[in-house]
Amino acid sequence: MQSLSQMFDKAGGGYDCHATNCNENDALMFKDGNLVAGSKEALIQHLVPTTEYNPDRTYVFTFLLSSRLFIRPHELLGEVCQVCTFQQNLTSDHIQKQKLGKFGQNVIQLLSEWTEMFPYDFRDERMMKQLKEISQRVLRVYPELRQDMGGITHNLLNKLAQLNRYEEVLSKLNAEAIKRSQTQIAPTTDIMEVCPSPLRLAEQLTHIELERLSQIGPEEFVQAFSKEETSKTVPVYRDMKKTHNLEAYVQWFNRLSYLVASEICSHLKKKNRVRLVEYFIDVAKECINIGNFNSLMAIIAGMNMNPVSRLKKTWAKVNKTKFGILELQMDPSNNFGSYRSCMKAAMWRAQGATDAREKIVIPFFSLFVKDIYFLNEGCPNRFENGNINFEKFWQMAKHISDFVTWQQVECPFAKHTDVLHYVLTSPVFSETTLSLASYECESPENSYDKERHKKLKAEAGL
Amino acid sequence: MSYAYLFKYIIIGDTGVGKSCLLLQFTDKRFQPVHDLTIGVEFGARMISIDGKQIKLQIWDTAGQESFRSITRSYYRGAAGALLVYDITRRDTFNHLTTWLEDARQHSNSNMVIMLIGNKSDLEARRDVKKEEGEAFAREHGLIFMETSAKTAANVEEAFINTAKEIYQKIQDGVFDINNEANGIKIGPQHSPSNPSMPSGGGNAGPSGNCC
Repeated sequence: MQSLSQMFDKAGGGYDCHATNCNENDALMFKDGNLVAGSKEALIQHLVPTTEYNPDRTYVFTFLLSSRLFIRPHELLGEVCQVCTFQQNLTSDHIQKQKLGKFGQNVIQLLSEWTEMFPYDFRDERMMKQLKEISQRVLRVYPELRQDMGGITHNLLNKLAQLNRYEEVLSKLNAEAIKRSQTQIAPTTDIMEVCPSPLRLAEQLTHIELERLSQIGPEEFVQAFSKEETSKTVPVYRDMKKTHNLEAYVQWFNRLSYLVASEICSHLKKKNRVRLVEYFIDVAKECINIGNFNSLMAIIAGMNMNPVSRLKKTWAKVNKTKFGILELQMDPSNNFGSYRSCMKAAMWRAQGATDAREKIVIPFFSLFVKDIYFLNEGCPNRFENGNINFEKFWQMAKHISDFVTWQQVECPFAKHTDVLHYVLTSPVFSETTLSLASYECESPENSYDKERHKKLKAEAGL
Repeated sequence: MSYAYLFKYIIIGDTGVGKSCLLLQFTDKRFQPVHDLTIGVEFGARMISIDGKQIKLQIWDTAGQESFRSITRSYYRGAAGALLVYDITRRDTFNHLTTWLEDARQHSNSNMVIMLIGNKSDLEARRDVKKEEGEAFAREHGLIFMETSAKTAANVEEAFINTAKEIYQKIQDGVFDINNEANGIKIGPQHSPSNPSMPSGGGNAGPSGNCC
């Protein structure tokens, strides 16, 4: 079966309505055959299945993703049910099944896609209630679809249970990291002791990346900026926010950066710091090979943080050319041109992959978020006549469909729980501790650092 | 297009103060129904002219990335100018300026020119921070100050260009070491470092403001 992102790719410039049996009317606007705008009502109507019409998968994804900016998911599902009931006259006592044609199958198809693409929408009693109502209504006419519907519910409940488990694991890990940071001031071991092989660490980082990545719901990207809309709509979005997986992934990125900086700065001997810097450079290199750009960037960012980058004597002993090649990946010139071309190469490799290892593409998440953020900021949601800018949301959905593809990769590497545990729970330094440790490693030279050192020491009561 | 200098800027400030709007306004990307950033390689760049010289501004916006702390910090390195933005209708964004400033000072080179911007000046009725307060903060910390509206475009050009003028002045005064790219300044391809006063663009520089 074609993946969602392949379907978007195949569609090219936009959503071609004609190919999908849609009526051109005043409420939907087209340009070069592609749907570019429409009223909210017309777009909802286009989502509703009929006896022979079934919305295209790309349309379902695009509209469910973005419609939440205008209508809450449970209201949308409610409206879809209502339109269905009205159009097919489902409340009548004498329903003629032949007249309904494939309506039942089409509704089940829509519910299957909704629950599969946006399962977290159903972390809401109102959604569950509506899902139950509509499916009962359909099953009354089409008892043979009972098994399909059962499968949909089963998968959905599984996915929601998995989300609960994930949240529990995260909160346990966080609690442990906090506890350890309170009880242990100086680390007694370092990452090289726990995991001497840079390749192995890169593989374990990939495990963490893929686990966290896979939990993010596509709608979390839209919610991330929708909460910044005008203040009177804020309660609406708060009500909608059911998950914090995107935030948890960002938190992981920051953690990895700070872990790298903490590991380096906690060594008082220059020789050891050089060893660690070179170790992380090797880990970062392995991350590129794997296609794990997010860990790569987090490691580089950690090494670029002031407490590490100011250690001139340490850096003087490091093989800089190797680091230079890595840093090129993070060079923002030409809108991150070097990273983007490297990322493209990884995507091509993934498309033609025969080995599970070649399928891994983990984007530089911060930039991915920024691209979507700007796509949202740079173009209006609605036009002056009140029509929804569908073309914008199509683009957004296309980007996010790539992400959905990357999410589905299973990590092929063996798990090393000791390494994972260390990386996830080992205490990392705070901003202040990191600076103080850095000044201990190499004393301040310029007046700014000298003053800052004094200030930080005083604040810490040293 | 050739240029005499390239200046790197960074835009910082709390979430929602209008950083991206300022950039989109300045680079003329506003009011397009759809644009795809992953294709436009020169997104965030624009040519301006100071003293008859073409100067390319390359702007790194941290909008949408505020929570990636280590990333935003690495952007400071190699920036010649920073626009520190707050929202005049939200006092909390003004109160956070000290933290932003400390962050900027710690992670940037000491010559970085910082422009303080009170954005959303079109929302006078909802104003929560007086203009005088912005001015006082700027004076106290040695920043240039301006109120802008990314919505009406008021003062947006000026904010970016005045910052560039200040950097340019520092180059003339010899404060910036233009041969060290870590300072966020690059000399244009046709300008040798030994002769920075060479006429710009080999005489064929086009009109400003249309580079992307």
